[in-house]
Amino acid sequence: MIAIIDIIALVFFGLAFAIVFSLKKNKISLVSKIFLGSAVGVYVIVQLSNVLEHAAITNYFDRFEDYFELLFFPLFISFLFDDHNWLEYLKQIRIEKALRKSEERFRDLTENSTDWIWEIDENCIYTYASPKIYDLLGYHPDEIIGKTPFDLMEEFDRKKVNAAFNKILETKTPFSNLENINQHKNGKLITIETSGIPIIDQNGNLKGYRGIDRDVTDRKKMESQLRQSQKLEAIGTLAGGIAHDFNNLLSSILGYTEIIKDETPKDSPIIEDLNKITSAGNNAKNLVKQILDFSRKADVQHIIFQPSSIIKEAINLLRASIPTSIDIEMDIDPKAGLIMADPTQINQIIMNLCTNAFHAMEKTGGKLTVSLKEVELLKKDFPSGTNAKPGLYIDLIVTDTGPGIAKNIKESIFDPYFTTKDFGKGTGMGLAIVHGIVKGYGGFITLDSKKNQGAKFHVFLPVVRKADHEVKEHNNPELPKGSEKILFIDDEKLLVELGRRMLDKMGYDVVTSQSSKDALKIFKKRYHEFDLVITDQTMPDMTGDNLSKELLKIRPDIPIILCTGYSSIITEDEAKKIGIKAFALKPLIHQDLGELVRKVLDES
Amino acid sequence: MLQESEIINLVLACFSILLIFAGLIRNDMERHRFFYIAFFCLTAGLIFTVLEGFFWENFFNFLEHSCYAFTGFFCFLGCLSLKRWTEANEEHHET
Repeated sequence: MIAIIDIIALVFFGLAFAIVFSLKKNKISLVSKIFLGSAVGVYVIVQLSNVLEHAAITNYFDRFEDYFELLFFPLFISFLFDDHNWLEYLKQIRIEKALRKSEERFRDLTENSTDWIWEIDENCIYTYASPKIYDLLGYHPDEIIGKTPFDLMEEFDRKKVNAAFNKILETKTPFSNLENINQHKNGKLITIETSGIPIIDQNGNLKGYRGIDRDVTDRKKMESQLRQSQKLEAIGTLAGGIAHDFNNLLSSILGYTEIIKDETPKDSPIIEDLNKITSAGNNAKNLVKQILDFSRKADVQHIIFQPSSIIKEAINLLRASIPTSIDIEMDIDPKAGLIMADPTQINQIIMNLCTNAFHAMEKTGGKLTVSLKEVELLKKDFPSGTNAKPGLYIDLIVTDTGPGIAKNIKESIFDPYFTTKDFGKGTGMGLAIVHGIVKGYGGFITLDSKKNQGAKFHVFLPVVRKADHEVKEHNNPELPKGSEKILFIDDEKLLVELGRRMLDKMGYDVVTSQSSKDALKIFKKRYHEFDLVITDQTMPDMTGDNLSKELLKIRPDIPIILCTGYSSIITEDEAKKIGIKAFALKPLIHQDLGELVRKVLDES
Repeated sequence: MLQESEIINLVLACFSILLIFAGLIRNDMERHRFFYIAFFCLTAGLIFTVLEGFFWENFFNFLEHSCYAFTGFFCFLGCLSLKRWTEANEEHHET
């Protein structure tokens, strides 16, 4: 039985051996052929040995058989190795591994890039979108595939970018920083800078584009803010420049009006007209101060006062500039608490909030309500993110019946330069300034508004107690008087005359000079006679601060008051460092000048 | 009795099986299919050779020789399919 099996095995091995040598060498290598032939040949010999042994012809080969068999495996594996081209295979494995690594590297770069990476075909249809698209425009990559870049663009930008992109497609050139405005899935507009390179096939045909999109919304916003800041800086410089001359003019207007008022009988009808001039002059003075405040060129004065009168004054002033189609209603509690603030800034808050309300109702008309009351706030009443402390607050409420403020822009309305107004109607700074002022005083501002239901702004400012602070009385009718000798210097003839007359009226002995050099000469000769020097800052030949230095060299104890319309050269602190006792801002009002002169003389 | 060459042969077979398994991962093993079967038959034969030295000598001897016969058969089929494959590819190439 075993013999028959061995014969069968011999036959098959023999046939296999024969076939191996009939294989054509163009499809199998000679080496493979030899290895396979040798491997099969080994078993032809082994089986032949077995058969011969069974037939009892010879067992001569039996002693070699087992060792001969050992050759089979190396030969057979060598055949498989060679025919499989395993070296090539191993090389391929290494290449595939390197490719996988490279692919992984590029996938990591693509998927973790802060920019969105995309690919479009020749029909501008997205064929690839990196996951960053979700952060950028709120879409998942799958939602983008099949869309065109123009589908994502804001309508007004689509045509412009389409035209630009068609030109790029024609030229098959790379492009960079192509700016376009896209719409986020939530409706927000996102400014994107797109750069791309063409995908060209071997025949030179355009197969699409591949590139990146970068969100530049914040950068654009900052650029815009920078431009606005530069404009404001320019306005500030301009305002500073005109403030000096303007305040000199106002000094004459207000000063001489006061002199006329003093010399006119109290029952004269002219008094009322003169009061109007004074009021207009004061408004102009505040206007200059507001311009300087706006450009941060003016110092903020913190005083304690009751805001009701300031609010009433501001509303009365606004009434004239707001059309009659808008009703103005006031509900001011005159007993509302005292606050510590700069009255000009409170005026600015009212003006800005009311102007916004006016703009909201300009087309339709409506009702503007301004109310003021005192409220007690607990911690739970504060909006999140507010650092205000529980206690008494004044609640200034400005309500309009305009179209209201949409929910999606509520968070942005206090941002600088954010505006929904038409070009030329607003800088976008109004509410930002209000927010900044209120925050600076430890207060906060809230908005209550719904679409088409008007807007209600609450401005909360902390109330201060009388006992803690001395309340400044604004209207002191008593004009302080004195008999000391004063040297008054100003290059403006009108102001010199005005100063002399005002000080004369208060009983002082006044020596005037229109030139700083002449004043120095006078002082050198008669320095022991003077009790006080009042000098303008901006003068030809020698500025007020330099004159003061010279005067103090002659007589170090001489009190000096430095007056200025506006000066970016010297600040109040710098003036005090020189030894100047007080710093007065023009226009000089009779009462203010009298109080200041008396104060400086008394202190000296 | 167990012979030294039989053990060496079995070790070589096992080592070769590892290489063949590595080759199986490849997709283009189609034309070596019968050779692999032949190889496994031969390995089985070697295992039976070792076993017959310990027990059931006649039975395992029969299995051993049968495995060699199958090895021969599958080697024959392997060579035949290799020949057909090369010829088929040649024709395809010529057309």
